Amino acid sequence: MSARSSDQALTRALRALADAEARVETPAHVETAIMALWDARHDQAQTAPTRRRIVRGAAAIAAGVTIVGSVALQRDLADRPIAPPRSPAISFDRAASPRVAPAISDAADTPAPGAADRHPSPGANDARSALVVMGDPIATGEIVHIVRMRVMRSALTELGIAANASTEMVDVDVLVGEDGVARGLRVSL
Amino acid sequence: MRHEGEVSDDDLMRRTAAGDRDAFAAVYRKHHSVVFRFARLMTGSNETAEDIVQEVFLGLMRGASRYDPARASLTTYLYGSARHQIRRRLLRDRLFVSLDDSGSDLCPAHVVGSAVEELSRERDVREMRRAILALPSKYREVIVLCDLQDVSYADAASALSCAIGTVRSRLHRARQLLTQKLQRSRACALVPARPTVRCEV
Repeated sequence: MSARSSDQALTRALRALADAEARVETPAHVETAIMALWDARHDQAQTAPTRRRIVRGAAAIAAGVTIVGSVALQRDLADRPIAPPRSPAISFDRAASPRVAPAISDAADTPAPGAADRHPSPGANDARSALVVMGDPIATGEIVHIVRMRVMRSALTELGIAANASTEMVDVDVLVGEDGVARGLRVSL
Repeated sequence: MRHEGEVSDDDLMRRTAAGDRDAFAAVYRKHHSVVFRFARLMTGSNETAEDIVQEVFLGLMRGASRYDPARASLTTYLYGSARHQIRRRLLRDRLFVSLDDSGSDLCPAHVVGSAVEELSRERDVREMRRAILALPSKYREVIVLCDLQDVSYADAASALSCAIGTVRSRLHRARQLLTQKLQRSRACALVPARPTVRCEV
């Protein structure tokens, strides 16, 4: 058999097979099975959001309870009376006070309640103390804090204050405003 | 009922991805035959072909949103998916049986006229099926796609993930192998055909 006739025979046989195969159809039950799979899959997809909604709802409730609790706690803390800072012996009349103004105060400052238990203020027991005002003025009604610190005597010297102390470290009271910025300094002379 | 030919595959796939059951059913009805025939010719088993059709359309159902019409037509995509499933199946089973040949008696005693031609034709078809099933997988798939399912070389290359030149060369070699097999088959045509079960190793 020649190559040409072999090719023709092959083509003919292939054509015959292709024709025979063209009549073949997928059995109907395959479509039924596939569509059942589709339905099952989409039923699951519909129930899943319900479950997700429940979980999300529970999470939202938990978050709400947490937020309300923390706000209530914060309010409770805010409502607690905070002992007002000991009023410094300072005039808030900025016009009258210079930028750095040593103010002489008596040692007989009115002590704050419970102050006797605490470490005495640098100027409390001394005959004289200096108050150095710095920074922005203290607004009327502004809550200030007094922070006790120990600083180098040389640092005070730079501010023009000659502290009367035998040691290198000097105790000072720092007046801190609501914004956390130091407004004044009291040191025993 | 909507006539599926009026709606493009892209549109049907978009709607399928959005969960439209009718669109998915339309995609199935439009393409199930080619997948089934391809799988049937590749595996030689109706049952396996049915399973593969299910796997292919289940994959399409799950990944409808990932289908990108810019990369390949839906038919090519389905051929590629079917080929993947067929390879997995053949690797797993390492065994496939011939198509259910109901009539192994190819030469009845009384045949006349066009009936003779018909029987001859049936015999040719049966022989060709056997010969194709005996081909190595890479040659079988190009013969099935290009010669039996009239897929273009470009689409076949896309479905088989190879170059067009590779498709051409494989097709040439596959035809050579088929011719040899058919010649051998005809040489022993007098030997009665037997139902075969073939193992591929």
